[in-house]
Amino acid sequence: METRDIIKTAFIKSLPILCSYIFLGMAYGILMEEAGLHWYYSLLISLVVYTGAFQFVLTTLLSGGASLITIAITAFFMNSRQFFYSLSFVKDFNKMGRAKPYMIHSLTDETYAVNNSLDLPDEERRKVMLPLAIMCQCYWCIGAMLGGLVGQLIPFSTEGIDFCMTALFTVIFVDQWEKAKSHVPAIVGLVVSLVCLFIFGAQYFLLPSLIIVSTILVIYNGSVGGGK
Amino acid sequence: MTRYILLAVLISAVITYALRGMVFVLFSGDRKMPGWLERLGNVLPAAIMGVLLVYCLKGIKTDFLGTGIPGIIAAILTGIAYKWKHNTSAPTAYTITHMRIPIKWSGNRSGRKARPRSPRPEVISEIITDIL
Repeated sequence: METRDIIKTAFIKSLPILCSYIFLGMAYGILMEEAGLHWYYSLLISLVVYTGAFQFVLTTLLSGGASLITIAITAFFMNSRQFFYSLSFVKDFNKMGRAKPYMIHSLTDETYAVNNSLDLPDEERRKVMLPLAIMCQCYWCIGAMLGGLVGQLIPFSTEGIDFCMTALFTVIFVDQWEKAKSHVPAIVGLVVSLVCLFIFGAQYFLLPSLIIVSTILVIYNGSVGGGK
Repeated sequence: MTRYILLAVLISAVITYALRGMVFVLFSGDRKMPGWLERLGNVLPAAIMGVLLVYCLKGIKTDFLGTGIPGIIAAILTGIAYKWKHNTSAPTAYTITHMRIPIKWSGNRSGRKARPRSPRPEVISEIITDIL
Protein backbone atom coordinates (compact mmCIF):
# COMPACT_ATOMS: atom_id res chain seq x y z
CA MET A 1 0.00 0.00 0.00
CA GLU A 2 1.24 3.46 -0.82
CA THR A 3 1.31 6.23 1.72
CA ARG A 4 -1.79 7.78 0.15
CA ASP A 5 -3.76 4.56 0.47
CA ILE A 6 -2.63 4.14 4.06
CA ILE A 7 -3.80 7.64 4.98
CA LYS A 8 -7.05 7.06 3.10
CA THR A 9 -7.73 3.75 4.86
CA ALA A 10 -6.92 5.32 8.22
CA PHE A 11 -9.26 8.23 7.53
CA ILE A 12 -12.16 6.01 6.47
CA LYS A 13 -11.69 3.83 9.54
CA SER A 14 -11.57 6.94 11.73
CA LEU A 15 -14.91 8.35 10.52
CA PRO A 16 -17.12 6.84 13.24
CA ILE A 17 -14.64 8.14 15.81
CA LEU A 18 -14.62 11.55 14.12
CA CYS A 19 -18.33 12.01 14.68
CA SER A 20 -18.11 10.80 18.24
CA TYR A 21 -14.92 12.54 19.38
CA ILE A 22 -15.70 15.96 17.92
CA PHE A 23 -19.01 16.15 19.77
CA LEU A 24 -17.90 14.39 22.93
CA GLY A 25 -14.80 16.60 22.91
CA MET A 26 -17.03 19.64 22.58
CA ALA A 27 -19.16 18.50 25.51
CA TYR A 28 -15.91 18.23 27.47
CA GLY A 29 -14.76 21.70 26.40
CA ILE A 30 -18.10 23.18 27.39
CA LEU A 31 -17.98 21.48 30.80
CA MET A 32 -14.44 22.78 31.36
CA GLU A 33 -15.46 26.30 30.35
CA GLU A 34 -18.40 26.17 32.76
CA ALA A 35 -15.97 25.12 35.51
CA GLY A 36 -13.91 28.22 34.72
CA LEU A 37 -11.15 26.30 32.97
CA HIS A 38 -10.46 27.81 29.56
CA TRP A 39 -9.85 26.12 26.23
CA TYR A 40 -6.08 25.95 26.62
CA TYR A 41 -6.51 23.75 29.68
CA SER A 42 -8.94 21.52 27.74
CA LEU A 43 -6.40 21.28 24.94
CA LEU A 44 -3.50 20.55 27.30
CA ILE A 45 -5.38 17.81 29.15
CA SER A 46 -6.65 16.30 25.88
CA LEU A 47 -3.07 16.19 24.63
CA VAL A 48 -1.31 14.71 27.65
CA VAL A 49 -3.99 12.72 29.51
CA TYR A 50 -6.30 11.75 26.61
CA THR A 51 -8.80 9.46 28.24
CA GLY A 52 -12.48 10.28 27.79
CA ALA A 53 -14.34 9.37 30.94
CA PHE A 54 -11.58 10.37 33.36
CA GLN A 55 -11.20 13.80 31.75
CA PHE A 56 -14.82 14.57 32.61
CA VAL A 57 -14.31 13.46 36.19
CA LEU A 58 -11.06 15.42 36.41
CA THR A 59 -12.99 18.59 35.56
CA THR A 60 -15.26 18.03 38.54
CA LEU A 61 -12.28 17.26 40.77
CA LEU A 62 -10.37 20.36 39.63
CA SER A 63 -13.29 22.74 40.04
CA GLY A 64 -13.95 21.29 43.48
CA GLY A 65 -10.30 21.71 44.44
CA ALA A 66 -9.82 18.02 45.23
CA SER A 67 -6.48 17.01 46.75
CA LEU A 68 -3.75 15.75 44.44
CA ILE A 69 -3.91 12.36 46.16
CA THR A 70 -7.62 12.05 45.42
CA ILE A 71 -6.91 12.92 41.80
CA ALA A 72 -4.10 10.34 41.64
CA ILE A 73 -6.25 7.56 43.12
CA THR A 74 -9.19 8.39 40.84
CA ALA A 75 -6.88 8.40 37.80
CA PHE A 76 -5.50 5.04 38.85
CA PHE A 77 -8.85 3.32 39.27
CA MET A 78 -10.59 4.88 36.29
CA ASN A 79 -7.74 4.13 33.90
CA SER A 80 -6.71 0.68 35.12
CA ARG A 81 -8.71 -0.80 32.27
CA GLN A 82 -6.09 0.57 29.85
CA PHE A 83 -3.76 -2.08 31.25
CA PHE A 84 -5.94 -4.77 29.71
CA TYR A 85 -6.11 -2.99 26.36
CA SER A 86 -2.32 -2.96 26.02
CA LEU A 87 -2.23 -6.76 26.39
CA SER A 88 -3.68 -7.26 22.91
CA PHE A 89 -1.18 -5.00 21.18
CA VAL A 90 2.17 -5.86 22.79
CA LYS A 91 3.47 -7.57 19.64
CA ASP A 92 2.22 -4.89 17.26
CA PHE A 93 3.48 -1.89 19.22
CA ASN A 94 6.86 -3.53 19.84
CA LYS A 95 7.33 -3.71 16.08
CA MET A 96 6.43 -0.07 15.49
CA GLY A 97 9.80 1.44 16.45
CA ARG A 98 9.73 5.13 17.23
CA ALA A 99 5.95 5.25 17.06
CA LYS A 100 5.65 2.87 20.03
CA PRO A 101 5.57 5.45 22.86
CA TYR A 102 2.84 7.38 21.04
CA MET A 103 0.84 4.23 20.24
CA ILE A 104 0.86 3.40 23.96
CA HIS A 105 -0.28 6.92 24.81
CA SER A 106 -3.07 6.96 22.24
CA LEU A 107 -4.72 3.65 23.18
CA THR A 108 -8.28 4.53 24.20
CA ASP A 109 -11.52 2.51 24.26
CA GLU A 110 -12.30 3.66 20.74
CA THR A 111 -8.86 3.26 19.15
CA TYR A 112 -8.61 -0.17 20.79
CA ALA A 113 -11.85 -1.18 19.12
CA VAL A 114 -10.95 0.21 15.71
CA ASN A 115 -7.43 -1.26 15.77
CA ASN A 116 -9.04 -4.64 16.36
CA SER A 117 -11.32 -4.15 13.37
CA LEU A 118 -8.52 -3.54 10.85
CA ASP A 119 -8.71 -6.47 8.50
CA LEU A 120 -5.30 -6.13 6.81
CA PRO A 121 -2.01 -8.04 6.62
CA ASP A 122 0.08 -7.41 9.76
CA GLU A 123 2.57 -5.03 8.20
CA GLU A 124 -0.03 -2.80 6.55
CA ARG A 125 -2.21 -2.90 9.62
CA ARG A 126 0.62 -1.43 11.68
CA LYS A 127 1.20 1.28 9.09
CA VAL A 128 -2.47 2.27 9.28
CA MET A 129 -2.57 2.27 13.09
CA LEU A 130 -0.25 5.29 13.53
CA PRO A 131 -2.06 7.83 11.29
CA LEU A 132 -5.35 6.48 12.62
CA ALA A 133 -4.25 7.15 16.20
CA ILE A 134 -3.04 10.65 15.34
CA MET A 135 -6.29 11.51 13.55
CA CYS A 136 -8.38 10.33 16.48
CA GLN A 137 -6.46 12.40 18.99
CA CYS A 138 -6.73 15.43 16.67
CA TYR A 139 -10.52 15.04 16.55
CA TRP A 140 -10.66 14.87 20.32
CA CYS A 141 -8.41 17.92 20.78
CA ILE A 142 -10.24 19.96 18.14
CA GLY A 143 -13.56 19.09 19.76
CA ALA A 144 -12.32 20.07 23.22
CA MET A 145 -10.97 23.37 21.93
CA LEU A 146 -14.12 24.17 19.98
CA GLY A 147 -16.26 23.36 23.01
CA GLY A 148 -14.35 25.88 25.08
CA LEU A 149 -14.31 28.58 22.41
CA VAL A 150 -17.70 28.36 20.71
CA GLY A 151 -19.59 25.77 22.77
CA GLN A 152 -22.42 28.14 23.58
CA LEU A 153 -23.12 28.77 19.91
CA ILE A 154 -23.94 25.23 18.72
CA PRO A 155 -27.00 25.75 16.54
CA PHE A 156 -28.53 22.29 16.89
CA SER A 157 -29.10 19.62 19.46
CA THR A 158 -26.41 16.96 19.62
CA GLU A 159 -28.67 14.57 21.49
CA GLY A 160 -28.28 11.10 20.04
CA ILE A 161 -24.70 11.50 18.83
CA ASP A 162 -23.62 8.98 21.46
CA PHE A 163 -25.26 6.24 19.41
CA CYS A 164 -22.27 6.56 17.07
CA MET A 165 -20.12 4.64 19.52
CA THR A 166 -22.79 2.00 20.16
CA ALA A 167 -23.12 1.43 16.42
CA LEU A 168 -19.35 1.20 15.97
CA PHE A 169 -18.94 -1.23 18.87
CA THR A 170 -21.85 -3.32 17.59
CA VAL A 171 -20.29 -3.60 14.15
CA ILE A 172 -16.89 -4.55 15.58
CA PHE A 173 -18.54 -7.03 17.95
CA VAL A 174 -20.19 -8.75 14.96
CA ASP A 175 -16.82 -8.77 13.16
CA GLN A 176 -15.06 -10.34 16.13
CA TRP A 177 -17.88 -12.86 16.49
CA GLU A 178 -17.55 -13.99 12.87
CA LYS A 179 -13.75 -14.22 13.05
CA ALA A 180 -13.62 -16.08 16.37
CA LYS A 181 -13.08 -19.84 16.50
CA SER A 182 -14.88 -19.92 19.83
CA HIS A 183 -17.68 -17.66 20.96
CA VAL A 184 -16.95 -18.22 24.63
CA PRO A 185 -14.89 -14.99 25.10
CA ALA A 186 -17.58 -12.80 23.52
CA ILE A 187 -20.33 -14.40 25.59
CA VAL A 188 -18.28 -14.17 28.79
CA GLY A 189 -17.69 -10.47 28.07
CA LEU A 190 -21.39 -9.76 27.56
CA VAL A 191 -22.71 -11.79 30.47
CA VAL A 192 -20.11 -10.77 33.06
CA SER A 193 -20.39 -7.08 32.26
CA LEU A 194 -24.19 -7.24 32.38
CA VAL A 195 -24.07 -8.87 35.80
CA CYS A 196 -21.45 -6.36 36.98
CA LEU A 197 -23.54 -3.46 35.66
CA PHE A 198 -26.37 -4.46 37.96
CA ILE A 199 -24.11 -5.19 40.95
CA PHE A 200 -21.68 -2.25 40.78
CA GLY A 201 -23.77 0.34 38.90
CA ALA A 202 -23.18 2.17 35.64
CA GLN A 203 -20.33 4.31 36.97
CA TYR A 204 -18.08 1.64 38.41
CA PHE A 205 -18.69 -1.62 36.59
CA LEU A 206 -16.02 -1.44 33.85
CA LEU A 207 -12.97 -2.33 35.92
CA PRO A 208 -14.51 -5.21 37.94
CA SER A 209 -15.94 -6.56 34.67
CA LEU A 210 -12.53 -6.61 33.01
CA ILE A 211 -10.87 -8.25 36.01
CA ILE A 212 -13.52 -10.99 36.25
CA VAL A 213 -13.62 -11.52 32.46
CA SER A 214 -9.82 -11.87 32.35
CA THR A 215 -9.79 -14.32 35.25
CA ILE A 216 -12.46 -16.48 33.63
CA LEU A 217 -10.67 -16.39 30.28
CA VAL A 218 -7.32 -17.39 31.81
CA ILE A 219 -9.03 -20.40 33.42
CA TYR A 220 -10.87 -21.12 30.16
CA ASN A 221 -7.63 -20.96 28.14
CA GLY A 222 -6.05 -23.40 30.57
CA SER A 223 -8.96 -25.81 30.36
CA VAL A 224 -9.02 -25.98 26.56
CA GLY A 225 -5.28 -26.64 26.58
CA GLY A 226 -3.51 -23.78 24.88
CA GLY A 227 -6.46 -21.62 24.01
CA LYS A 228 -5.87 -20.37 20.49
CA MET B 1 -4.34 27.93 41.28
CA THR B 2 -2.48 27.52 38.00
CA ARG B 3 0.22 25.55 39.79
CA TYR B 4 -2.40 23.26 41.33
CA ILE B 5 -4.04 22.60 37.95
CA LEU B 6 -0.75 21.94 36.21
CA LEU B 7 0.38 19.57 38.97
CA ALA B 8 -2.96 17.73 38.83
CA VAL B 9 -2.67 17.41 35.05
CA LEU B 10 0.90 16.15 35.33
CA ILE B 11 -0.05 13.52 37.92
CA SER B 12 -3.04 12.36 35.84
CA ALA B 13 -0.93 12.16 32.69
CA VAL B 14 1.86 10.16 34.36
CA ILE B 15 -0.52 7.68 35.99
CA THR B 16 -2.54 7.17 32.80
CA TYR B 17 0.58 6.66 30.70
CA ALA B 18 2.06 4.29 33.28
CA LEU B 19 -1.08 2.14 33.20
CA ARG B 20 -1.10 2.05 29.42
CA GLY B 21 2.60 1.20 29.23
CA MET B 22 2.92 -1.16 32.19
CA VAL B 23 2.68 -4.32 30.10
CA PHE B 24 5.48 -3.07 27.85
CA VAL B 25 7.81 -2.34 30.77
CA LEU B 26 7.05 -5.63 32.52
CA PHE B 27 7.81 -7.69 29.44
CA SER B 28 10.55 -5.90 27.57
CA GLY B 29 13.87 -7.31 26.44
CA ASP B 30 14.65 -10.69 27.95
CA ARG B 31 11.54 -11.01 30.05
CA LYS B 32 9.10 -12.66 27.70
CA MET B 33 5.39 -12.53 28.24
CA PRO B 34 4.21 -15.74 29.90
CA GLY B 35 2.11 -17.97 27.68
CA TRP B 36 -1.10 -17.60 29.65
CA LEU B 37 -0.94 -13.80 29.41
CA GLU B 38 -0.28 -13.91 25.70
CA ARG B 39 -3.23 -16.24 25.18
CA LEU B 40 -5.34 -13.90 27.29
CA GLY B 41 -4.32 -11.02 25.00
CA ASN B 42 -5.49 -13.07 22.02
CA VAL B 43 -8.99 -13.77 23.32
CA LEU B 44 -9.55 -10.45 25.11
CA PRO B 45 -10.62 -8.34 22.09
CA ALA B 46 -13.82 -10.33 21.56
CA ALA B 47 -14.62 -10.19 25.28
CA ILE B 48 -13.77 -6.51 25.66
CA MET B 49 -16.02 -5.59 22.73
CA GLY B 50 -18.83 -7.29 24.65
CA VAL B 51 -17.98 -5.29 27.76
CA LEU B 52 -17.79 -2.01 25.81
CA LEU B 53 -21.10 -2.77 24.14
CA VAL B 54 -22.74 -3.21 27.53
CA TYR B 55 -21.03 0.03 28.61
CA CYS B 56 -22.71 1.86 25.72
CA LEU B 57 -26.05 0.33 26.66
CA LYS B 58 -25.71 1.02 30.37
CA GLY B 59 -29.03 2.87 30.12
CA ILE B 60 -30.73 -0.46 30.85
CA LYS B 61 -29.73 0.10 34.47
CA THR B 62 -30.06 3.86 34.82
CA ASP B 63 -32.93 4.65 32.46
CA PHE B 64 -34.60 1.43 31.38
CA LEU B 65 -37.45 2.74 29.24
CA GLY B 66 -35.93 6.04 28.13
CA THR B 67 -32.60 4.91 26.67
CA GLY B 68 -32.15 1.28 27.74
CA ILE B 69 -34.60 -0.76 25.69
CA PRO B 70 -34.57 1.56 22.65
CA GLY B 71 -30.76 1.50 22.70
CA ILE B 72 -30.70 -2.30 22.70
CA ILE B 73 -33.22 -2.51 19.87
CA ALA B 74 -31.24 0.04 17.82
CA ALA B 75 -27.99 -1.84 18.50
CA ILE B 76 -29.51 -5.19 17.52
CA LEU B 77 -30.89 -3.67 14.30
CA THR B 78 -27.48 -2.17 13.55
CA GLY B 79 -25.92 -5.59 14.10
CA ILE B 80 -28.43 -7.32 11.83
CA ALA B 81 -28.06 -4.66 9.14
CA TYR B 82 -24.29 -4.95 9.28
CA LYS B 83 -24.32 -8.74 9.16
CA TRP B 84 -26.62 -8.53 6.18
CA LYS B 85 -24.87 -5.94 4.05
CA HIS B 86 -21.38 -5.78 5.59
CA ASN B 87 -21.02 -2.11 4.93
CA THR B 88 -18.28 -0.63 7.10
CA SER B 89 -19.53 2.92 6.82
CA ALA B 90 -22.71 1.74 8.55
CA PRO B 91 -21.99 3.25 11.99
CA THR B 92 -21.67 6.77 10.59
CA ALA B 93 -24.73 6.39 8.41
CA TYR B 94 -26.91 5.16 11.26
CA THR B 95 -25.82 7.90 13.58
CA ILE B 96 -26.54 10.60 11.03
CA THR B 97 -30.00 9.11 10.58
CA HIS B 98 -30.33 8.97 14.33
CA MET B 99 -29.23 12.60 14.69
CA ARG B 100 -31.72 14.02 12.22
CA ILE B 101 -34.69 13.03 14.31
CA PRO B 102 -34.22 15.06 17.48
CA ILE B 103 -33.77 18.24 15.45
CA LYS B 104 -36.94 17.58 13.52
CA TRP B 105 -38.85 16.62 16.60
CA SER B 106 -37.81 19.21 19.15
CA GLY B 107 -38.74 22.01 16.77
CA ASN B 108 -36.24 24.41 18.29
CA ARG B 109 -32.74 24.98 17.08
CA SER B 110 -31.47 26.77 20.15
CA GLY B 111 -29.50 23.74 21.18
CA ARG B 112 -28.41 21.76 24.10
CA LYS B 113 -30.29 23.40 26.96
CA ALA B 114 -33.67 22.33 25.59
CA ARG B 115 -33.55 18.55 25.62
CA PRO B 116 -35.79 16.93 23.04
CA ARG B 117 -37.91 14.05 24.15
CA SER B 118 -36.71 10.58 23.40
CA PRO B 119 -36.56 10.20 19.61
CA ARG B 120 -35.90 6.48 19.67
CA PRO B 121 -39.06 4.92 18.19
CA GLU B 122 -38.67 7.15 15.14
CA VAL B 123 -35.00 6.28 14.88
CA ILE B 124 -35.76 2.62 14.83
CA SER B 125 -38.28 2.98 12.04
CA GLU B 126 -35.77 5.08 10.09
CA ILE B 127 -33.12 2.42 10.51
CA ILE B 128 -35.57 -0.17 9.22
CA THR B 129 -36.37 1.95 6.15
CA ASP B 130 -32.63 2.46 5.68
CA ILE B 131 -32.02 -1.27 5.57
CA LEU B 132 -34.88 -1.89 3.19
